[in-house]
Amino acid sequence: MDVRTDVRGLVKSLLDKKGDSRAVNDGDSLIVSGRLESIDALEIAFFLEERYGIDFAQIGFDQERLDSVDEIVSLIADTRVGT
Amino acid sequence: MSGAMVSAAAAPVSGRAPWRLIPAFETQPEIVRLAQTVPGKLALLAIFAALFRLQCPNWLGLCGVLVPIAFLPKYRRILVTCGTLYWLLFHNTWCDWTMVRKVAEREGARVDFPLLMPIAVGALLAFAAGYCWIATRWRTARLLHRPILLLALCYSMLVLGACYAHVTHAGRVYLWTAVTMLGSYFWFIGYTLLDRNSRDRDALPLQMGVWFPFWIAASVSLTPIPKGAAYLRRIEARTPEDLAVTQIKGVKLLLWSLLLGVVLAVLRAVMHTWLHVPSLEEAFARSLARQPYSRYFEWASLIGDFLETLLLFSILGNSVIACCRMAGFRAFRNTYRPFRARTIAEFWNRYYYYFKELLVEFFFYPAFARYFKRHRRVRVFFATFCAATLGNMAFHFIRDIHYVAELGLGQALIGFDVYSFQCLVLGIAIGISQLRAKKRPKNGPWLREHALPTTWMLGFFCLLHIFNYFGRTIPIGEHFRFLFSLFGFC
Repeated sequence: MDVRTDVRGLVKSLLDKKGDSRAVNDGDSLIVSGRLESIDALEIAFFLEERYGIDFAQIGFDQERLDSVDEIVSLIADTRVGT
Repeated sequence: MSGAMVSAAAAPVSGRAPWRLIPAFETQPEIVRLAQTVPGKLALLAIFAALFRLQCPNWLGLCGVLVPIAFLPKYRRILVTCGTLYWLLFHNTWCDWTMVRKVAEREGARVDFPLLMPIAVGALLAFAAGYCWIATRWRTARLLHRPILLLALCYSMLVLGACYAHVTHAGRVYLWTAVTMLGSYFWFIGYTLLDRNSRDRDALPLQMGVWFPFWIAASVSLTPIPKGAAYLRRIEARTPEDLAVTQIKGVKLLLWSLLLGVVLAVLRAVMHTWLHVPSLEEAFARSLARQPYSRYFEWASLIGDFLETLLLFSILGNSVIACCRMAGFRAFRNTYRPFRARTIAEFWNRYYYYFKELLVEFFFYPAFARYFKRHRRVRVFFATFCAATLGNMAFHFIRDIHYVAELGLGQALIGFDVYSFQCLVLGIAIGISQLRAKKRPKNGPWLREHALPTTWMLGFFCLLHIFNYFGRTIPIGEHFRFLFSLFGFC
Protein backbone atom coordinates (compact mmCIF):
# COMPACT_ATOMS: atom_id res chain seq x y z
CA MET A 1 0.00 0.00 0.00
CA ASP A 2 1.46 3.39 -0.91
CA VAL A 3 1.68 6.26 1.57
CA ARG A 4 -1.15 8.29 0.05
CA THR A 5 -3.59 5.39 0.14
CA ASP A 6 -2.57 4.65 3.70
CA VAL A 7 -3.18 8.27 4.77
CA ARG A 8 -6.47 8.42 2.89
CA GLY A 9 -7.58 5.31 4.78
CA LEU A 10 -6.75 6.91 8.12
CA VAL A 11 -8.54 10.17 7.26
CA LYS A 12 -11.59 8.29 6.03
CA SER A 13 -11.78 6.21 9.21
CA LEU A 14 -11.53 9.34 11.36
CA LEU A 15 -14.27 11.06 9.35
CA ASP A 16 -16.42 7.93 9.48
CA LYS A 17 -16.14 7.87 13.27
CA LYS A 18 -17.61 11.38 13.31
CA GLY A 19 -20.45 10.41 10.99
CA ASP A 20 -19.02 12.56 8.19
CA SER A 21 -19.60 10.62 4.99
CA ARG A 22 -18.96 13.51 2.59
CA ALA A 23 -16.26 13.06 -0.03
CA VAL A 24 -12.82 14.35 0.82
CA ASN A 25 -10.24 15.46 -1.71
CA ASP A 26 -6.54 15.21 -0.98
CA GLY A 27 -6.19 18.97 -0.74
CA ASP A 28 -9.27 19.57 1.43
CA SER A 29 -8.73 21.13 4.82
CA LEU A 30 -9.63 18.76 7.63
CA ILE A 31 -8.89 20.49 10.93
CA VAL A 32 -9.06 24.19 10.07
CA SER A 33 -12.36 23.55 8.27
CA GLY A 34 -13.76 21.87 11.38
CA ARG A 35 -14.32 18.44 9.82
CA LEU A 36 -11.79 16.98 12.23
CA GLU A 37 -10.94 18.21 15.72
CA SER A 38 -7.64 18.69 17.49
CA ILE A 39 -8.10 15.33 19.23
CA ASP A 40 -8.12 13.76 15.78
CA ALA A 41 -4.83 15.52 15.07
CA LEU A 42 -3.44 13.46 17.95
CA GLU A 43 -4.77 10.28 16.33
CA ILE A 44 -3.00 11.29 13.12
CA ALA A 45 0.16 11.94 15.14
CA PHE A 46 -0.02 8.52 16.83
CA PHE A 47 -0.47 6.96 13.39
CA LEU A 48 2.52 8.79 11.91
CA GLU A 49 4.74 7.92 14.86
CA GLU A 50 3.84 4.26 14.86
CA ARG A 51 3.64 3.65 11.11
CA TYR A 52 6.32 6.01 9.78
CA GLY A 53 8.53 6.60 12.82
CA ILE A 54 8.04 10.35 12.74
CA ASP A 55 9.39 12.04 15.87
CA PHE A 56 7.39 15.19 16.59
CA ALA A 57 9.86 16.20 19.29
CA GLN A 58 12.40 16.62 16.49
CA ILE A 59 10.29 18.35 13.87
CA GLY A 60 7.83 20.16 16.15
CA PHE A 61 4.11 19.59 16.25
CA ASP A 62 2.48 21.78 13.64
CA GLN A 63 -1.25 21.22 13.29
CA GLU A 64 -1.21 22.90 9.89
CA ARG A 65 0.95 20.09 8.54
CA LEU A 66 -1.74 17.55 9.40
CA ASP A 67 -4.58 19.54 7.88
CA SER A 68 -5.03 17.63 4.61
CA VAL A 69 -4.05 14.35 2.99
CA ASP A 70 -1.58 16.28 0.80
CA GLU A 71 0.00 17.96 3.84
CA ILE A 72 0.35 14.68 5.71
CA VAL A 73 1.89 12.93 2.72
CA SER A 74 4.26 15.86 2.25
CA LEU A 75 5.22 15.70 5.94
CA ILE A 76 6.03 12.00 5.63
CA ALA A 77 8.08 12.66 2.47
CA ASP A 78 9.98 15.54 4.10
CA THR A 79 10.78 13.44 7.14
CA ARG A 80 12.08 10.60 4.97
CA VAL A 81 14.29 13.01 3.03
CA GLY A 82 15.51 14.40 6.34
CA THR A 83 16.53 10.97 7.56
CA MET B 1 -8.14 20.05 25.72
CA SER B 2 -8.38 19.00 22.18
CA GLY B 3 -10.61 21.05 19.98
CA ALA B 4 -14.23 20.19 19.68
CA MET B 5 -15.14 23.32 17.84
CA VAL B 6 -17.91 22.46 15.50
CA SER B 7 -18.27 24.72 12.53
CA ALA B 8 -21.41 25.26 10.56
CA ALA B 9 -19.71 23.50 7.68
CA ALA B 10 -19.22 20.45 9.84
CA ALA B 11 -22.83 20.17 10.91
CA PRO B 12 -24.52 17.03 9.68
CA VAL B 13 -26.81 17.54 6.76
CA SER B 14 -30.37 16.50 7.44
CA GLY B 15 -33.40 16.47 5.23
CA ARG B 16 -35.12 19.39 6.90
CA ALA B 17 -33.40 22.67 7.75
CA PRO B 18 -33.53 23.38 11.49
CA TRP B 19 -35.34 26.50 12.69
CA ARG B 20 -33.02 29.42 13.21
CA LEU B 21 -33.56 32.64 15.11
CA ILE B 22 -31.41 34.40 12.52
CA PRO B 23 -32.10 32.91 9.07
CA ALA B 24 -29.27 31.39 7.05
CA PHE B 25 -29.05 34.29 4.56
CA GLU B 26 -25.68 33.01 3.39
CA THR B 27 -27.36 29.98 1.82
CA GLN B 28 -29.68 32.10 -0.34
CA PRO B 29 -28.05 32.57 -3.79
CA GLU B 30 -29.80 35.90 -4.52
CA ILE B 31 -28.50 37.47 -1.33
CA VAL B 32 -25.00 36.09 -1.87
CA ARG B 33 -25.01 37.45 -5.43
CA LEU B 34 -26.21 40.83 -4.24
CA ALA B 35 -23.51 40.94 -1.56
CA GLN B 36 -20.88 40.70 -4.31
CA THR B 37 -22.03 43.91 -6.01
CA VAL B 38 -20.99 47.42 -5.00
CA PRO B 39 -24.48 48.37 -3.66
CA GLY B 40 -24.65 45.02 -1.86
CA LYS B 41 -21.25 45.54 -0.22
CA LEU B 42 -22.22 49.06 0.81
CA ALA B 43 -25.50 47.77 2.25
CA LEU B 44 -23.72 45.05 4.22
CA LEU B 45 -21.20 47.56 5.58
CA ALA B 46 -23.99 49.97 6.47
CA ILE B 47 -25.94 47.27 8.33
CA PHE B 48 -22.77 46.15 10.09
CA ALA B 49 -21.93 49.74 11.08
CA ALA B 50 -25.46 50.39 12.33
CA LEU B 51 -25.38 47.26 14.50
CA PHE B 52 -21.80 47.83 15.60
CA ARG B 53 -22.65 51.34 16.75
CA LEU B 54 -25.00 49.85 19.33
CA GLN B 55 -22.24 47.79 20.86
CA CYS B 56 -18.77 49.13 20.29
CA PRO B 57 -17.52 52.66 21.02
CA ASN B 58 -14.81 52.17 18.37
CA TRP B 59 -17.35 51.35 15.66
CA LEU B 60 -16.60 54.28 13.37
CA GLY B 61 -12.84 53.76 13.24
CA LEU B 62 -13.19 50.02 12.75
CA CYS B 63 -15.75 50.38 9.98
CA GLY B 64 -13.49 52.97 8.36
CA VAL B 65 -10.76 50.32 8.18
CA LEU B 66 -13.20 47.68 6.91
CA VAL B 67 -14.42 49.72 3.91
CA PRO B 68 -11.23 49.53 1.80
CA ILE B 69 -10.72 45.88 2.79
CA ALA B 70 -14.22 45.02 1.57
CA PHE B 71 -13.65 46.67 -1.80
CA LEU B 72 -10.03 45.67 -2.38
CA PRO B 73 -9.89 42.02 -1.26
CA LYS B 74 -6.78 41.44 -3.36
CA TYR B 75 -4.85 43.71 -0.99
CA ARG B 76 -6.56 42.43 2.13
CA ARG B 77 -3.49 41.45 4.11
CA ILE B 78 -1.69 44.71 3.32
CA LEU B 79 -4.78 46.69 4.27
CA VAL B 80 -5.15 44.68 7.49
CA THR B 81 -1.53 45.57 8.30
CA CYS B 82 -2.25 49.25 7.57
CA GLY B 83 -5.38 49.09 9.73
CA THR B 84 -3.41 47.53 12.57
CA LEU B 85 -0.72 50.20 12.24
CA TYR B 86 -3.36 52.93 12.29
CA TRP B 87 -4.90 51.44 15.41
CA LEU B 88 -1.49 51.10 17.06
CA LEU B 89 -0.64 54.74 16.39
CA PHE B 90 -3.94 56.33 17.32
CA HIS B 91 -5.86 53.97 19.62
CA ASN B 92 -3.27 51.95 21.52
CA THR B 93 -5.15 50.79 24.60
CA TRP B 94 -3.68 47.35 25.19
CA CYS B 95 -0.47 48.32 26.95
CA ASP B 96 -0.96 48.93 30.65
CA TRP B 97 0.36 52.47 30.92
CA THR B 98 -1.54 52.99 34.17
CA MET B 99 0.78 50.49 35.82
CA VAL B 100 3.87 52.20 34.41
CA ARG B 101 2.60 55.60 35.56
CA LYS B 102 2.05 54.21 39.06
CA VAL B 103 5.60 52.85 39.13
CA ALA B 104 6.91 56.25 38.01
CA GLU B 105 4.90 57.95 40.74
CA ARG B 106 6.11 55.51 43.39
CA GLU B 107 9.73 55.86 42.30
CA GLY B 108 9.42 59.63 42.08
CA ALA B 109 10.85 59.47 38.57
CA ARG B 110 10.21 62.26 36.10
CA VAL B 111 9.24 60.56 32.88
CA ASP B 112 7.99 62.23 29.73
CA PHE B 113 5.19 59.79 28.90
CA PRO B 114 4.09 61.31 25.59
CA LEU B 115 7.67 60.73 24.43
CA LEU B 116 8.19 57.39 26.18
CA MET B 117 5.08 55.72 24.76
CA PRO B 118 5.89 55.88 21.03
CA ILE B 119 9.57 55.12 21.69
CA ALA B 120 8.61 52.07 23.78
CA VAL B 121 6.20 50.78 21.13
CA GLY B 122 8.79 51.32 18.39
CA ALA B 123 11.54 49.66 20.43
CA LEU B 124 9.37 46.65 21.25
CA LEU B 125 8.33 46.17 17.65
CA ALA B 126 11.93 46.53 16.46
CA PHE B 127 13.14 44.01 19.05
CA ALA B 128 10.33 41.54 18.28
CA ALA B 129 10.80 41.86 14.53
CA GLY B 130 14.54 41.34 14.92
CA TYR B 131 14.05 38.35 17.18
CA CYS B 132 11.53 36.73 14.83
CA TRP B 133 13.84 37.32 11.87
CA ILE B 134 16.83 35.82 13.67
CA ALA B 135 14.76 32.87 14.96
CA THR B 136 13.59 32.17 11.41
CA ARG B 137 16.91 32.79 9.68
CA TRP B 138 18.92 30.60 12.09
CA ARG B 139 16.17 28.22 13.13
CA THR B 140 18.52 25.24 13.23
CA ALA B 141 20.84 26.92 15.73
CA ARG B 142 20.83 25.11 19.06
CA LEU B 143 20.03 28.25 21.04
CA LEU B 144 17.02 28.99 18.84
CA HIS B 145 15.63 25.46 18.83
CA ARG B 146 12.84 26.58 21.17
CA PRO B 147 12.47 30.32 20.52
CA ILE B 148 9.26 30.79 22.50
CA LEU B 149 10.84 29.29 25.59
CA LEU B 150 13.83 31.57 25.09
CA LEU B 151 11.50 34.56 24.77
CA ALA B 152 9.74 33.48 27.99
CA LEU B 153 13.13 33.34 29.72
CA CYS B 154 13.93 36.87 28.47
CA TYR B 155 10.58 38.03 29.80
CA SER B 156 11.23 36.39 33.18
CA MET B 157 14.64 38.06 33.37
CA LEU B 158 13.02 41.40 32.60
CA VAL B 159 10.49 40.89 35.41
CA LEU B 160 13.24 39.94 37.85
CA GLY B 161 15.27 42.94 36.72
CA ALA B 162 12.29 45.27 37.13
CA CYS B 163 11.74 43.92 40.65
CA TYR B 164 15.26 43.58 42.02
CA ALA B 165 17.86 45.28 39.80
CA HIS B 166 19.84 48.14 41.33
CA VAL B 167 18.96 50.82 38.83
CA THR B 168 17.97 54.48 38.89
CA HIS B 169 14.33 55.41 39.45
CA ALA B 170 13.91 56.18 35.78
CA GLY B 171 15.67 52.93 34.91
CA ARG B 172 13.09 50.96 36.87
CA VAL B 173 10.29 52.74 35.02
CA TYR B 174 11.90 51.79 31.72
CA LEU B 175 12.23 48.18 32.83
CA TRP B 176 8.55 48.02 33.78
CA THR B 177 7.73 49.63 30.45
CA ALA B 178 9.61 46.82 28.71
CA VAL B 179 7.80 44.25 30.87
CA THR B 180 4.35 45.58 30.04
CA MET B 181 5.12 45.96 26.35
CA LEU B 182 6.60 42.51 25.90
CA GLY B 183 3.85 40.94 28.02
CA SER B 184 1.14 42.50 25.87
CA TYR B 185 2.67 41.24 22.65
CA PHE B 186 4.06 37.94 23.95
CA TRP B 187 1.49 35.55 22.46
CA PHE B 188 1.28 37.43 19.16
CA ILE B 189 5.04 37.17 18.76
CA GLY B 190 4.69 33.52 19.75
CA TYR B 191 2.32 32.80 16.88
CA THR B 192 4.83 34.31 14.46
CA LEU B 193 7.53 32.08 15.92
CA LEU B 194 5.28 29.03 15.58
CA ASP B 195 4.89 29.91 11.92
CA ARG B 196 8.63 30.11 11.24
CA ASN B 197 8.86 26.61 9.73
CA SER B 198 5.93 27.02 7.33
CA ARG B 199 6.85 26.93 3.69
CA ASP B 200 4.20 29.50 2.79
CA ARG B 201 4.82 31.82 5.76
CA ASP B 202 4.10 35.51 5.31
CA ALA B 203 6.72 38.20 5.16
CA LEU B 204 7.47 39.73 8.55
CA PRO B 205 5.51 42.98 7.98
CA LEU B 206 2.37 40.96 7.22
CA GLN B 207 2.98 38.79 10.29
CA MET B 208 3.28 41.95 12.37
CA GLY B 209 0.09 43.23 10.79
CA VAL B 210 -1.81 40.72 12.90
CA TRP B 211 -0.08 41.51 16.19
CA PHE B 212 -3.06 43.10 17.90
CA PRO B 213 -5.00 43.26 14.64
CA PHE B 214 -7.38 46.20 14.48
CA TRP B 215 -10.46 44.01 14.99
CA ILE B 216 -9.38 43.20 18.56
CA ALA B 217 -10.42 46.79 19.32
CA ALA B 218 -14.00 45.50 19.10
CA SER B 219 -13.33 44.07 22.55
CA VAL B 220 -10.70 44.18 25.29
CA SER B 221 -8.48 41.14 25.07
CA LEU B 222 -4.84 40.09 25.13
CA THR B 223 -5.82 36.77 23.54
CA PRO B 224 -4.87 36.63 19.87
CA ILE B 225 -8.26 36.29 18.19
CA PRO B 226 -8.27 34.48 15.81
CA LYS B 227 -4.73 33.17 16.37
CA GLY B 228 -1.86 34.28 14.09
CA ALA B 229 -0.95 34.80 10.47
CA ALA B 230 -0.71 31.06 9.69
CA TYR B 231 -4.36 30.54 10.60
CA LEU B 232 -5.49 33.69 8.78
CA ARG B 233 -3.79 32.52 5.59
CA ARG B 234 -5.84 29.36 5.70
CA ILE B 235 -9.19 30.93 6.43
CA GLU B 236 -8.96 33.86 4.07
CA ALA B 237 -11.86 34.15 1.62
CA ARG B 238 -10.51 33.23 -1.81
CA THR B 239 -13.38 34.10 -4.14
CA PRO B 240 -15.95 36.94 -4.31
CA GLU B 241 -18.67 34.45 -3.37
CA ASP B 242 -16.65 33.18 -0.43
CA LEU B 243 -16.11 36.77 0.71
CA ALA B 244 -19.82 37.56 0.41
CA VAL B 245 -20.77 34.51 2.47
CA THR B 246 -18.13 35.35 5.09
CA GLN B 247 -19.31 38.93 5.39
CA ILE B 248 -22.96 37.92 5.66
CA LYS B 249 -21.94 35.55 8.43
CA GLY B 250 -20.07 38.44 10.05
CA VAL B 251 -23.21 40.59 10.12
CA LYS B 252 -25.23 37.65 11.45
CA LEU B 253 -22.72 37.02 14.21
CA LEU B 254 -22.79 40.65 15.25
CA LEU B 255 -26.58 40.51 15.36
CA TRP B 256 -26.36 37.37 17.49
CA SER B 257 -23.92 39.14 19.76
CA LEU B 258 -26.38 42.03 20.16
CA LEU B 259 -29.20 39.63 20.97
CA LEU B 260 -27.03 38.06 23.64
CA GLY B 261 -26.46 41.58 24.95
CA VAL B 262 -30.22 41.93 25.35
CA VAL B 263 -30.35 38.57 27.15
CA LEU B 264 -27.58 39.78 29.47
CA ALA B 265 -29.43 43.01 30.22
CA VAL B 266 -32.65 41.10 30.96
CA LEU B 267 -30.78 38.61 33.15
CA ARG B 268 -29.21 41.42 35.15
CA ALA B 269 -32.53 43.22 35.52
CA VAL B 270 -34.32 40.07 36.67
CA MET B 271 -31.56 38.98 39.03
CA HIS B 272 -30.49 42.21 40.61
CA THR B 273 -33.42 44.61 40.22
CA TRP B 274 -36.50 42.41 40.50
CA LEU B 275 -35.29 39.53 42.63
CA HIS B 276 -32.70 41.60 44.56
CA VAL B 277 -30.09 38.91 44.19
CA PRO B 278 -26.71 40.37 45.17
CA SER B 279 -23.79 40.26 42.78
CA LEU B 280 -21.21 37.56 43.50
CA GLU B 281 -18.82 40.30 44.59
CA GLU B 282 -21.34 41.55 47.18
CA ALA B 283 -22.15 38.05 48.37
CA PHE B 284 -18.45 37.29 48.70
CA ALA B 285 -17.80 40.56 50.55
CA ARG B 286 -20.55 39.70 53.04
CA SER B 287 -19.04 36.26 53.50
CA LEU B 288 -15.68 37.91 54.21
CA ALA B 289 -17.29 40.20 56.76
CA ARG B 290 -18.89 37.14 58.40
CA GLN B 291 -22.35 38.49 57.64
CA PRO B 292 -23.28 36.14 54.83
CA TYR B 293 -26.45 36.21 52.81
CA SER B 294 -28.70 33.19 53.02
CA ARG B 295 -27.52 30.06 51.23
CA TYR B 296 -30.15 30.50 48.51
CA PHE B 297 -29.01 34.04 47.74
CA GLU B 298 -25.41 32.86 47.60
CA TRP B 299 -26.35 30.13 45.13
CA ALA B 300 -28.37 32.60 43.06
CA SER B 301 -25.52 35.13 42.99
CA LEU B 302 -23.04 32.43 41.96
CA ILE B 303 -25.21 31.02 39.17
CA GLY B 304 -26.12 34.53 38.00
CA ASP B 305 -22.48 35.61 37.88
CA PHE B 306 -21.47 32.43 36.05
CA LEU B 307 -24.13 33.04 33.40
CA GLU B 308 -23.23 36.72 33.11
CA THR B 309 -19.55 35.85 32.62
CA LEU B 310 -20.42 33.30 29.98
CA LEU B 311 -22.62 35.78 28.13
CA LEU B 312 -19.96 38.49 28.33
CA PHE B 313 -17.30 36.17 26.89
CA SER B 314 -19.64 35.25 24.11
CA ILE B 315 -20.62 38.84 23.31
CA LEU B 316 -17.11 40.26 23.34
CA GLY B 317 -15.39 37.37 21.57
CA ASN B 318 -18.02 37.07 18.90
CA SER B 319 -17.94 40.84 18.22
CA VAL B 320 -14.24 40.51 17.44
CA ILE B 321 -14.90 37.55 15.15
CA ALA B 322 -17.76 39.41 13.44
CA CYS B 323 -15.34 42.23 12.62
CA CYS B 324 -12.72 39.73 11.46
CA ARG B 325 -15.26 38.07 9.17
CA MET B 326 -16.14 41.45 7.68
CA ALA B 327 -12.45 41.72 6.79
CA GLY B 328 -12.82 38.47 4.85
CA PHE B 329 -11.59 35.77 7.21
CA ARG B 330 -13.76 32.70 7.76
CA ALA B 331 -13.00 32.41 11.46
CA PHE B 332 -14.91 30.16 13.83
CA ARG B 333 -16.98 31.74 16.54
CA ASN B 334 -15.23 32.34 19.84
CA THR B 335 -18.12 30.83 21.79
CA TYR B 336 -20.21 28.12 20.19
CA ARG B 337 -23.26 26.64 21.93
CA PRO B 338 -21.60 25.91 25.28
CA PHE B 339 -24.80 24.42 26.73
CA ARG B 340 -24.70 21.69 24.13
CA ALA B 341 -21.55 20.33 25.72
CA ARG B 342 -21.93 17.10 27.63
CA THR B 343 -18.46 16.89 29.10
CA ILE B 344 -16.05 19.21 30.88
CA ALA B 345 -13.57 18.97 28.00
CA GLU B 346 -16.24 19.80 25.46
CA PHE B 347 -17.49 22.84 27.39
CA TRP B 348 -13.92 24.09 27.73
CA ASN B 349 -13.55 23.79 23.97
CA ARG B 350 -16.72 25.64 23.24
CA TYR B 351 -16.86 28.62 25.54
CA TYR B 352 -13.59 30.43 24.75
CA TYR B 353 -12.23 28.78 21.62
CA TYR B 354 -9.28 31.02 20.84
CA PHE B 355 -7.94 30.96 24.38
CA LYS B 356 -8.19 27.18 24.32
CA GLU B 357 -6.42 27.14 20.95
CA LEU B 358 -3.63 29.31 22.36
CA LEU B 359 -3.10 26.82 25.17
CA VAL B 360 -3.22 23.92 22.72
CA GLU B 361 -0.63 25.39 20.37
CA PHE B 362 1.79 26.80 22.95
CA PHE B 363 1.55 24.13 25.65
CA PHE B 364 -0.44 21.04 24.67
CA TYR B 365 1.29 20.14 21.40
CA PRO B 366 4.86 20.79 22.61
CA ALA B 367 4.26 18.67 25.72
CA PHE B 368 2.52 15.99 23.66
CA ALA B 369 5.45 15.86 21.25
CA ARG B 370 8.06 15.45 23.99
CA TYR B 371 6.85 13.64 27.08
CA PHE B 372 5.58 10.15 27.96
CA LYS B 373 5.74 9.00 24.37
CA ARG B 374 5.40 5.35 25.29
CA HIS B 375 2.28 5.82 27.40
CA ARG B 376 -0.60 7.03 25.28
CA ARG B 377 -3.08 7.96 28.02
CA VAL B 378 -0.49 9.48 30.35
CA ARG B 379 0.86 11.42 27.41
CA VAL B 380 -2.51 13.00 26.57
CA PHE B 381 -3.30 13.64 30.25
CA PHE B 382 0.06 15.29 30.91
CA ALA B 383 -0.17 17.45 27.79
CA THR B 384 -3.66 18.51 28.88
CA PHE B 385 -2.36 19.35 32.34
CA CYS B 386 0.47 21.42 30.83
CA ALA B 387 -2.04 23.40 28.80
CA ALA B 388 -5.07 23.82 31.05
CA THR B 389 -3.09 24.21 34.26
CA LEU B 390 0.42 25.49 33.59
CA GLY B 391 -0.37 27.38 30.39
CA ASN B 392 -3.48 28.90 31.88
CA MET B 393 -1.49 30.08 34.90
CA ALA B 394 1.30 31.49 32.74
CA PHE B 395 -1.12 33.38 30.52
CA HIS B 396 -2.91 35.03 33.42
CA PHE B 397 0.27 35.76 35.35
CA ILE B 398 1.64 37.64 32.35
CA ARG B 399 -1.68 39.33 31.71
CA ASP B 400 -1.93 40.57 35.31
CA ILE B 401 1.74 41.45 35.73
CA HIS B 402 0.72 44.77 37.30
CA TYR B 403 0.20 42.88 40.58
CA VAL B 404 3.94 42.19 40.64
CA ALA B 405 4.63 45.91 40.28
CA GLU B 406 2.11 46.74 43.00
CA LEU B 407 2.73 43.99 45.55
CA GLY B 408 6.20 42.70 44.76
CA LEU B 409 7.02 39.37 43.13
CA GLY B 410 6.74 37.25 46.29
CA GLN B 411 3.33 38.52 47.34
CA ALA B 412 2.03 38.40 43.77
CA LEU B 413 3.09 34.76 43.51
CA ILE B 414 1.65 33.80 46.89
CA GLY B 415 -1.62 35.59 46.14
CA PHE B 416 -1.87 33.73 42.86
CA ASP B 417 -2.78 30.56 44.77
CA VAL B 418 -6.52 30.95 44.23
CA TYR B 419 -6.35 31.11 40.46
CA SER B 420 -3.63 28.45 40.44
CA PHE B 421 -5.93 26.14 42.38
CA GLN B 422 -8.65 26.74 39.81
CA CYS B 423 -6.22 25.90 37.00
CA LEU B 424 -5.08 22.76 38.82
CA VAL B 425 -8.62 21.45 39.24
CA LEU B 426 -9.50 22.44 35.69
CA GLY B 427 -6.47 20.70 34.20
CA ILE B 428 -7.13 17.47 36.07
CA ALA B 429 -10.85 17.57 35.29
CA ILE B 430 -10.35 18.19 31.57
CA GLY B 431 -7.72 15.45 31.43
CA ILE B 432 -10.03 12.91 33.07
CA SER B 433 -12.97 14.11 30.99
CA GLN B 434 -11.00 13.54 27.77
CA LEU B 435 -9.94 10.07 28.73
CA ARG B 436 -13.49 9.14 29.77
CA ALA B 437 -15.03 10.68 26.64
CA LYS B 438 -13.49 7.97 24.49
CA LYS B 439 -15.34 5.29 26.44
CA ARG B 440 -18.68 7.04 26.53
CA PRO B 441 -21.38 5.54 24.29
CA LYS B 442 -22.87 8.03 21.85
CA ASN B 443 -26.45 6.84 21.84
CA GLY B 444 -28.53 6.25 24.91
CA PRO B 445 -31.49 7.62 26.87
CA TRP B 446 -31.72 11.42 26.65
CA LEU B 447 -31.79 11.87 30.42
CA ARG B 448 -28.68 9.76 31.03
CA GLU B 449 -26.71 10.75 27.97
CA HIS B 450 -27.57 14.45 27.70
CA ALA B 451 -29.48 16.06 30.57
CA LEU B 452 -27.52 14.61 33.50
CA PRO B 453 -24.01 15.02 32.02
CA THR B 454 -24.80 18.61 31.01
CA THR B 455 -26.16 19.44 34.47
CA TRP B 456 -23.17 17.85 36.19
CA MET B 457 -20.74 19.62 33.87
CA LEU B 458 -22.39 23.04 34.37
CA GLY B 459 -22.48 22.45 38.13
CA PHE B 460 -18.75 21.76 38.08
CA PHE B 461 -17.93 24.95 36.17
CA CYS B 462 -20.31 26.97 38.31
CA LEU B 463 -18.61 25.86 41.54
CA LEU B 464 -15.17 26.32 40.02
CA HIS B 465 -16.23 29.88 39.20
CA ILE B 466 -15.78 30.69 42.91
CA PHE B 467 -12.03 30.33 42.37
CA ASN B 468 -12.02 32.38 39.18
CA TYR B 469 -10.36 35.18 41.12
CA PHE B 470 -7.56 37.18 39.53
CA GLY B 471 -6.82 39.41 42.53
CA ARG B 472 -4.04 38.65 44.96
CA THR B 473 -5.38 39.78 48.34
CA ILE B 474 -8.19 37.42 49.37
CA PRO B 475 -6.77 34.14 50.68
CA ILE B 476 -7.88 30.83 49.28
CA GLY B 477 -9.41 29.84 52.62
CA GLU B 478 -12.09 32.49 52.14
CA HIS B 479 -13.00 31.00 48.77
CA PHE B 480 -13.33 27.56 50.33
CA ARG B 481 -15.40 29.09 53.10
CA PHE B 482 -17.79 30.51 50.51
CA LEU B 483 -17.89 27.14 48.74
CA PHE B 484 -18.71 25.25 51.95
CA SER B 485 -21.34 27.81 52.96
CA LEU B 486 -23.25 26.96 49.79
CA PHE B 487 -23.71 23.48 51.19
CA GLY B 488 -24.47 24.69 54.70
CA PHE B 489 -21.13 23.76 56.25
CA CYS B 490 -20.14 27.27 57.37
